Amino acid sequence: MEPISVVTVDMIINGRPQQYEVEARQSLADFLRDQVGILGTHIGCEHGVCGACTVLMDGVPVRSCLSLAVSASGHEIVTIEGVKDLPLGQRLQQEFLEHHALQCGFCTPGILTTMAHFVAHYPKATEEEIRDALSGNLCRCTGYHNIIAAVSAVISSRHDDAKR
Amino acid sequence: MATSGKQSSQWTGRSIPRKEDLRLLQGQGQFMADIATRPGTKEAAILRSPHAHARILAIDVSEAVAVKGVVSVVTGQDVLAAGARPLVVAAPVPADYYPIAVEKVRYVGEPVAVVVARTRAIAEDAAAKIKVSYDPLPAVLGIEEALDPGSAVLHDALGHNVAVHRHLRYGDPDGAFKEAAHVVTGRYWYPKVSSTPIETYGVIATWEQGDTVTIWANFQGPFSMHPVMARALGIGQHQLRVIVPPDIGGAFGIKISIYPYMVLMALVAKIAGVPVRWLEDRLEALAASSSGTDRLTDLTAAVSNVGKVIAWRMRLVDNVGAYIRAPEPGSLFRATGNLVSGYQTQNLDVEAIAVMTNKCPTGPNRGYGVSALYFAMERHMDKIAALVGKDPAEIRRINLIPHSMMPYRTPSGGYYDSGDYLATLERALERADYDQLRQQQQEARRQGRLFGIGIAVGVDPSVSNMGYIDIVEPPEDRKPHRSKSGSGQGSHVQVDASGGVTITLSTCAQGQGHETVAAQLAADILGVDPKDIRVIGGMDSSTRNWTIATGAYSSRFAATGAVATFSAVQQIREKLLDIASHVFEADRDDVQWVSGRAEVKGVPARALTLKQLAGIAHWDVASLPPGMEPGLAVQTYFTPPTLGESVDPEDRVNSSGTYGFMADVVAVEVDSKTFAVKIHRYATVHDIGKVLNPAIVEGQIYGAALHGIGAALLEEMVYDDQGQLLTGTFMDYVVPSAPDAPDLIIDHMDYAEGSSLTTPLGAKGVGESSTETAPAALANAVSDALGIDINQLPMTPNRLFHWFLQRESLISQEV
Amino acid sequence: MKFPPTRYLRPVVLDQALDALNQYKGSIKVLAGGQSLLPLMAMRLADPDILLDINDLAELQEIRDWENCVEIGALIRHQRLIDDPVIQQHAPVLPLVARHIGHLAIRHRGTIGGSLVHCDPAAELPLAVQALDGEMLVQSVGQTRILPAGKFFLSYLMSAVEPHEMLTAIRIPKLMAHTRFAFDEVAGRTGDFALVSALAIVTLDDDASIQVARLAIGGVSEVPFRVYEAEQYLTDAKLTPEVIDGAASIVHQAVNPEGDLHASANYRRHLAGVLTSRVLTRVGVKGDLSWNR
Ligand SMILES: Cc1cc2nc3c(=O)[nH]c(=O)nc-3n(C[C@H](O)[C@H](O)[C@H](O)COP(=O)(O)OP(=O)(O)OC[C@H]3O[C@@H](n4cnc5c(N)ncnc54)[C@H](O)[C@@H]3O)c2cc1C
Ligand code: FES
Ligand code: FES
Repeated sequence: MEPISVVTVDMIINGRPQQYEVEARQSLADFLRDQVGILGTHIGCEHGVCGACTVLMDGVPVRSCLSLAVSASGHEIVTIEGVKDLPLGQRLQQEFLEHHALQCGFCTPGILTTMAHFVAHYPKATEEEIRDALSGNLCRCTGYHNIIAAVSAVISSRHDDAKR
Repeated sequence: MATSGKQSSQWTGRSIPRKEDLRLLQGQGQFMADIATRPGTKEAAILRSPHAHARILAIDVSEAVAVKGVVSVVTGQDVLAAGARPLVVAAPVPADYYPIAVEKVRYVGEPVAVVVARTRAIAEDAAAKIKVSYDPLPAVLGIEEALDPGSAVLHDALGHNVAVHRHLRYGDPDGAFKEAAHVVTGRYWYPKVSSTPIETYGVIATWEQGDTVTIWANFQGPFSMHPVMARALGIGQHQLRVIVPPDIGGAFGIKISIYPYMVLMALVAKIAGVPVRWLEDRLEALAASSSGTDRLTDLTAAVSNVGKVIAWRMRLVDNVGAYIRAPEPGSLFRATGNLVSGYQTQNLDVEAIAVMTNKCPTGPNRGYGVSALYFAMERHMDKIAALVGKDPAEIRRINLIPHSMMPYRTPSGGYYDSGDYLATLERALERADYDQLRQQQQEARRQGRLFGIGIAVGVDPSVSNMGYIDIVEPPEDRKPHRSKSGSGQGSHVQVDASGGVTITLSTCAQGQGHETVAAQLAADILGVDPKDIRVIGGMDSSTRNWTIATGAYSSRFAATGAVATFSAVQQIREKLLDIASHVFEADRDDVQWVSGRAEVKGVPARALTLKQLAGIAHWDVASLPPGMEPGLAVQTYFTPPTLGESVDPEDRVNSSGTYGFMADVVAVEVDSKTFAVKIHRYATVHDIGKVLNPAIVEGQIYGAALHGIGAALLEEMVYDDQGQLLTGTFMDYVVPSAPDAPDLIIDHMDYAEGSSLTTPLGAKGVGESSTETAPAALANAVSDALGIDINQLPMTPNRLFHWFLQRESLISQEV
Repeated sequence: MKFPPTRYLRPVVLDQALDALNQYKGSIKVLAGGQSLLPLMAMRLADPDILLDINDLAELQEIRDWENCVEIGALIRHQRLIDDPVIQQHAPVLPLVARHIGHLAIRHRGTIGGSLVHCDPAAELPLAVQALDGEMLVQSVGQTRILPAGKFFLSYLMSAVEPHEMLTAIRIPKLMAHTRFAFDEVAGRTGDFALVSALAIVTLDDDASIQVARLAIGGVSEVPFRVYEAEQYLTDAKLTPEVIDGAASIVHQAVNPEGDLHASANYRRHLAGVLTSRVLTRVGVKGDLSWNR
C-alpha cells in the first residue's frame, strides 16, 4: 500500500452516485462546495464548534469541516439540498418557516440536517433534550427560541400522528 | 397582532411567513462564498502578525513565491508602491491606518502579507513560508496603561495613545452638584465583545479596463465608506462598484468594518493582475475582524434627597485598539443624543476619551456605544436606590421622563418624539410579576439560596444621524460647509407590462426580513398578495439608488428603507390612478383603488386591473394622459425629518432618528456552589411604535437579548499581558448556545396611530433593543442575588466565585 | 484554515495498518474520528505527512462480552457507547459519561480510542477508564502490550501509545454487585470540555458500608486524577453527610490544578470539592445508575 495525495472517491450525494478526484487534504465541506458545487453546506468555523457545516453521513450528523472528503468515500452523504427528501425533512422545513426559526439563515442548513436526524430518532424528546441536541449548532440571530419551537412542533405532530 | 379588517392593512402588521425563507430553507441562499467568480479568479490567504507590537525589519517572500500554484505575494511596501493611501480616520490625529501593516505591527492578527494562489490551501501553505523578522516592542493593552504618558506609544507621529479627548457640557452641572443632597460615584468596566456572525467576511475584487474595480463583499453599509474606499484606492467613486450579495449571514455591525479588506483585496488584485477572492476564516475573524471597545466609565450622580438625579458627570474611556478605524470613535458619540437615557436630567458633564492599544481595532457591534453606557447607568441607579432606601423600580419611576413631557429634548440634543416610559416599566413589572418575584426571593433567601432580581430600562436609539461624528472635533475646529446630517435611504419599485411588481432594495439585509416587510407594505397599497411581489435584496452601487447612509445598521430599515419603499409604491399607485381617470374620462377624485383595481366610485363595473393599467403604461403611450412619461417605475429616498440637523456649536446633536424604549425585568438564581447563573424569568417590554411584522420584531428582540446575555455572562475577548489573544477560537470565545438561552416574556406598548412625529409609518428600530439593557439587568440581578456590587462583565462563574469569596472575607473581617 | 498537505492510506485489515505504522514510523498519524486531530491540523498545529485512516478496520469496531470484562474496539464511536445494549448492560458508566462529550455530531464521529490516545485532561472517557481500572490493548507489528490505565495516561495530551503502535481495544472490568455510581461536571456550556468533572463508583456491603470506593477527578491535573486517599478514607465508612464532607475536603486538599482562561486554580480546586460531594451524595441516595446483579 502506497500513501497517495490525490484519491478517487465514490459516494452517494443526496441520492446520486458521484465520482471525483480529490486531494487527500480536502475537507468534506470544501469538497461539497468547491468540487461538487452544491453550496447549501455553510462554513462558519472549520474547527467543529459552530455546526453550520453539519451533513448526514450514512444517516447520522457529522461535521463536514472535520471530515476528509476521502474518508467519506464509500459512504452516503445528505446535505441541506437533500433534506426535503428525508422522511420528516419537509415537515421540519415547514415548521421552521411558520415559526420564524431563521433570520439570516446561515446556521440553518446545519440545524436542519442535525434536526432531521434528531426528530427521526428521538420521537419523544423533551424540550430539554431538544436544547441539548441543538447545543452543537450556534445561531447568533434567533436566540434559539423559535428553532426550539419549530422542532418541538415536529415532534409533537409525530405524537399526534401516532395517536391517529 | 390581529389582522386588521381594513383592506389598507391586510398584510402590514401581520406575521406572514418570510419570503427569504423559501430559498434559505433549501440551501439556496446566495451568500458571499456562493457568488460565482470569474474564470481565473485566485484565492488569497493573509499572513498575520504574531506580535502585539513590533517593528517589521524585513520580509522575505522568496520561498513563498516559489510554491507551485502561487501567483503573487503582496506586502505592505508593495501596497504603498501601488499608490495606496491611508484610510480616512474620523479623528483628527496623525495615526495612519492602512489595511495592511507598513513598518510596524500593532496587534496580533494584523495583516502583514497576502498570498494569492490557485487555492486557499496552497496560499496558506505558502504563507507559512514567508519569513518576517520583527523587532518586538512593549505592548500597551489596558485603558489605564494607554492613558499613562510613560507607556510605549503606538503611533510615533502622535506621541501618545490618546486618539480623542473631548469635554462636553450641557445645562449647569456644577450648579446642580452644589445643590445635591447626595453625590454617588461608581466605576464600571464593560468588556470587549464581538457579536460574531456565523458567516465570516468575504471579498472578491476584479479590475476592469485598468481603472475600474468591482468589489463583491458582504458589506452591510453605511456607504459613507464608499468614498473612504475610493480615496484609499486613489480612484473616483464612479470607478468603484460595490456589489453586496442578496444574503448576508448575520452582521450586527461587524460587517461595516470589512471595508479595509475590500480596499486591501482591490490593491492585491491590482498588483497580482488577477481577480482575487478572500474568504476570512474564524481564527482571522476572532483575531482581527472587529470587536467592540472595552470601556471604562466613571459615573458621578448628583442626587436630590428624594432620589432624583439632577446631574450626571461621566467620564467615558473607550479602547479603540490599534487604529482608529472609521466609524470609530463613534462608539463614544453614537449615544450623544440619549446620554441621559430615559431620565429627566438636564445637567450633564461628559469627558469622552478614546485610547489606542495593541488590541484588535474596534467597530460597531450590536448595542454600539449604548450597552456599555446603560450598564454603568443602570448599575448606578440601583446604587442610588440603595442609598436613598428605595426599591429599584421606584427609583426609576422617580427619574423617568413622564409621557406628558413628550416630545422631549435631551440636554445633549436628542429628540424623543414619543413614548410612555413609565407605562412601559409598569408593564414589564407586571409581566414579570415583580411583587411575586420579591416574595419568592424572600422565601429563597430563607432557604439560603442566592436569588436576585434586576431591572434595567433604556432609550433605544436607531437610525444614526450621519452627522453625529462631527462632534469628535471641538466646535472651533469644525470646517464650514463640511457638516453632515440625515440618514437617507433609497428604494426602487417597478411594475412590468404584465403587472408584475419588483421592488429593488439597497439595504443589504442580514436576516431582518426586509424583503418580506417591503412586500407586505406594497401588497397593502396595491391590493395584491405579497407572494406575487418580487423583492431584490443586496446592493449594487453602480445600478441602484443609494445615499451615503445606505445599508442596514443602527436598526434603520423600519424607519427609513420601509418608508422609502412605501412612498415609492404609493407613487406608483397614484400614477395608475391617473391613467385610469384619463382612460375613463372620469374626474381624478372619482377614481379609487379597490382590491387591486382602479374603479370609478359607485360604478364597480368601470374598473381596470393592475395588469391592464400596467399594460397601458408600457404598450400604449397613446392612452396615457398628455405629458405623462411611459413606463411604471419610481425611485424614492427618505430621511427622517428630525435628522435635518448637524452638531450645533454647543455640541448638541439629535444623534438618532428614532428612539424606542425598553424595560427588562429579570430574576436569576446563582448556584451557591458552582456560581453558575440561571435565568429564572426574563420579561422585556418595548415601546417601538408601530409593529410592521410581529414575528420579525419578536425575533429581533430574542436575538438582541441573547447578545446582551452573552456579554453579561460569557463573552469577552481576552488578551494576555503580552497582547496574545487567548480567545482566538470558537472553543474559547464562548457564545451562548441553545441550552443557555432563556425563554422571554415579550410585550409591546400599544401604538397610538400618528404618535410618532418622526416616521410616517410610525415604526421605530428594534434591532439592538435588549442588547443594550440585558447586561445591566443581569448585573443588577446577580448583584442582588449575591449581595455584592458588580461593576464588571462578564459574570462568569469563575469570577463570581472570587468576588463572593472576597465579600465573605470582608464580612468576616468586619465581625 | 485548510489542512496542510498530506498523503492518505486507508487499510482494510489491521495487519496492513500495523505494517504501515511500522514502515512510516514518525511521519504517519492514525486518523480515527478526526474530531481532535483535524481541528489541530486546521490550525496547523499538527502536520502529519501521512494519515492512516483506520475507519475501515472491522477488527476495531467490535464489542465483546467476556466473562469479567467488556472489550471495546478502539473505533467504537461515542454515540455507540451510549446506544449499545451490551455496553449499557455491562459497562454502564461509559454511556453515562459519554453523553457529556461534545455534541451529537461530535459523538457520532469521535471514537473511544481517539479520546483515550488524545488524552485531554478534561475528557470524560479517560476519566471513566481511569476510575474503572480499564486496560488498553496496544498493538504493533508482532506485539501486543496490555497497559493498565495508570500506565497508559502519561501526561497532558500524552498517552503511552508509541508512534509505531495502535490502540486496538479497551477492556472495561464488569462492576461488582451492589455498585452505584454518579458523574457530574461543570462546563462553560453544554458540550464544552469540562472545567472539572467527578466520577464516583462505590460498592456497598450488605450493611450499606462501603466495600470499595473509586473516585476520579478530571480537569485538575495532567491526566485524570484518582484520589486514592479519599478512596481509602471512604472504605468501610457509610455515606453520611459528615463522611461526604470529609471526602470532599480530602479532594480539595489533594488536587493541585492549574488555572487558565476559563477557571482559576482556586475555582477548579473549589469545584473538585463541590463535585465530589455532589457525586457522593447522589451515590448515597441511589446513584445515577446502579448495578445490582
Ligand atoms: C466541538 C468539539 C467538542 C468536543 N467536546 C468534547 C468533550 O466535551 N469531551 C471530550 O472528551 N471530547 C470532546 N471533543 C473531542 C472528541 O471527543 C474527540 O472525538 C476525541 O477526543 C478524539 O477522538 P477521535 O476518534 O475523533 O480521534 P482523532 O481526532 O482521530 O485522533 C486523536 C488522536 O489520537 C490518535 N489516535 C486515534 N485513534 C487511535 C488509535 N486507535 N491508536 C492510536 N492512535 C490513535 C490520533 O493519531 C490523534 O493523535 C470535542 C471535539 C469537538 C470538535
Ligand atoms: S464549520 Fe464545521 S463546525 Fe463550524
Ligand atoms: S439565523 Fe443567523 S445564525 Fe442562525
